[in-house]
Amino acid sequence: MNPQPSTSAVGELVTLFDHVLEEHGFGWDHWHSLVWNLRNTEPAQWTALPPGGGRTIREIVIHLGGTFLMYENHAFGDASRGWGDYVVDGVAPGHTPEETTVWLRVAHGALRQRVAELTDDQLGGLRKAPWGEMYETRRILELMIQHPLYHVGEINHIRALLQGNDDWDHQDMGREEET
Amino acid sequence: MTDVPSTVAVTALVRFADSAFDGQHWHAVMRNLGSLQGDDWDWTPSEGERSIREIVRHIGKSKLIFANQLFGDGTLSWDDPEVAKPVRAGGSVDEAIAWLRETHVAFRDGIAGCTDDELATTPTGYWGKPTELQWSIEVLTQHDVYHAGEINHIRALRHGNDAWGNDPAAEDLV
Repeated sequence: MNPQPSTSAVGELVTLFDHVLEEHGFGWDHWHSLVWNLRNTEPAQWTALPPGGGRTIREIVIHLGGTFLMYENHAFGDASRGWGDYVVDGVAPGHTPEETTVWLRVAHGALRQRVAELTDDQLGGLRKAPWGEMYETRRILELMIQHPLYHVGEINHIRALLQGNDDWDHQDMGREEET
Repeated sequence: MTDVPSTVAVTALVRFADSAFDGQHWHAVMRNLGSLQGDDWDWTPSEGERSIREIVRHIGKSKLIFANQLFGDGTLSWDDPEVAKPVRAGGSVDEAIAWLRETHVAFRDGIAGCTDDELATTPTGYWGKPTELQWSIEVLTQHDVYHAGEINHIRALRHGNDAWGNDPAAEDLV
């Protein structure tokens, strides 16, 4: 009987990718996650711009969901999806924050399922990026983990400027409500 | 013969921590700092309170605290002068970056000294609550990229080019 292939490293990456979307931990550490930061944003702030700003929170969220779908399809699928093709399993980004968040979860889940099927020895294999070049799988996964967190930081900064509370406390708004 | 403990998962975390801090991706802290001009460091946007220098100081201080609490003797606190008022973080850009790099080395070397088995242990951090080591490492690694995004947004507002594709750090996506 062959031993089961190791999935220790993949397991770490899946955990990291899960926590990009939403963290359920020990009550204080989830301020970097997408859903947490969106929860702290008022609906009207999704489409508002701070002084001098050029990108809204909604635009950033749709950009993130779109990259989940593009990488899922190009790195793991038939590479047929194009930028701007946002529908997945019949779900589109919609118009309200609630609708867009539902879509974001579906898009994240599509890529997450592909990653979870990997084994450690596949992390060094080459896969296709959306623009056609080939990269190590682990590098593509790193990008898919870091990319949302980077934009979540931008979302938090936009929110803070719009709400007039750009300090160290408000990125963690609502924590006390959960404890 | 004793089995050598696995470090496969630890190696993945070290790689991730290094990548978030100073990797090739355009999300890395150092890449975003490399896109700045000197006087960007202390600028704050309209309605904003935090400068890029303050965010850099926060990143470095957090690395020092986590390194000490997770991998050291656990004596360092936020009130310790080394953490509360890191002089070099307020110096020239070169000095602040050198300080920041040292704080990262302290944190990443701590991770690198672990084995996979230890990731499930629950040391008590400065917050006084036993916490799975893996989670604590994750949080501080996420922390780098999150604040790199904030740095980019401040830079974009400062330079008046907050639009897709205007990130000078984004010479390539992978």
